[in-house]
Amino acid sequence: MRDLSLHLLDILTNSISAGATIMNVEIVLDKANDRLTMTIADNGSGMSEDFLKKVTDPFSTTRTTRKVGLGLPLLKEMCELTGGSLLIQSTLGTGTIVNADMVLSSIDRLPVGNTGESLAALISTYTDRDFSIRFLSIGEDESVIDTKEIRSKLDGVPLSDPEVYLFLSQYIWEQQINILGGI
Amino acid sequence: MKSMEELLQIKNKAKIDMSARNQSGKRIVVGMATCGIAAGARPVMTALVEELKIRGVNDVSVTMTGCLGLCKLEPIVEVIDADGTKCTYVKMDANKAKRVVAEHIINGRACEDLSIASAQL
Repeated sequence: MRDLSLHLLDILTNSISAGATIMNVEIVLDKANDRLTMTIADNGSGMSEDFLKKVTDPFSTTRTTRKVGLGLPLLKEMCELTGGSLLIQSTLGTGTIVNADMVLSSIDRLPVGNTGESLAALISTYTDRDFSIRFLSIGEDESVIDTKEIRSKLDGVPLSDPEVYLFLSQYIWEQQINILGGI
Repeated sequence: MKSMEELLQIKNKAKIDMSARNQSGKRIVVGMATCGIAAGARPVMTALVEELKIRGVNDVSVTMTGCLGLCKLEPIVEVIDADGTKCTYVKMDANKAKRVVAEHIINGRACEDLSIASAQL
């Protein structure tokens, strides 16, 4: 994966497979403590304790087409290379929270990338689910984009409309740059 | 800089368009599991949506899906015609995506050199 936004897209497809209807993403820049965190919380089916223990093992996957799953292991490796960690909390029937904690200044930390493109792809495909993304720079500013608000503004025009897709992609990207800058 | 107000204009325009819109029944699906994402599926999807807009095609849906089962040929794009005929394009990139819109979607002629049939398995 070239950047965090691609990891985000990947992790959110796990949430979708787990039947999540609400997915909240938070990317927090903490310059004072040299930290960057990305948190993805969903209300999907969650994981059993046993599966949770082995979920970052590449030879553990829910898919049936083959026996490897690389999404979470790749993200975990990157977080740990920076000196941070990947924390996953999950409760069966309630949902999962994935927390990627990275050292901001580490040379191994991936750039954030374009979260707008990732979310636009998801929002326009899974129009009946809700996504929100919050960018926060601690002590500075924040911005929240929520499909609930967008849906009400669109008044019946589907989220899959290509104009909406391109608008959201660009809008989220601009909010990201505005709050987090080019990191 | 985009603002939420722009969304209202998009809404108003789409409401006018929708009444005149004829659903072609054509669909484009982009494989977007870990394998597809790592191989560059996301820019392919963006290119498809952008090219359809540039060419004024508004009756073809573009969606993402999971792993299509042939990771080494990702990014994979499927074009499904109204009659259910499916054409699978492999090792896609943004430029090939634009070609598929022009030749397959608009001119109705599949790009055989990009299809799975001509891929080295």
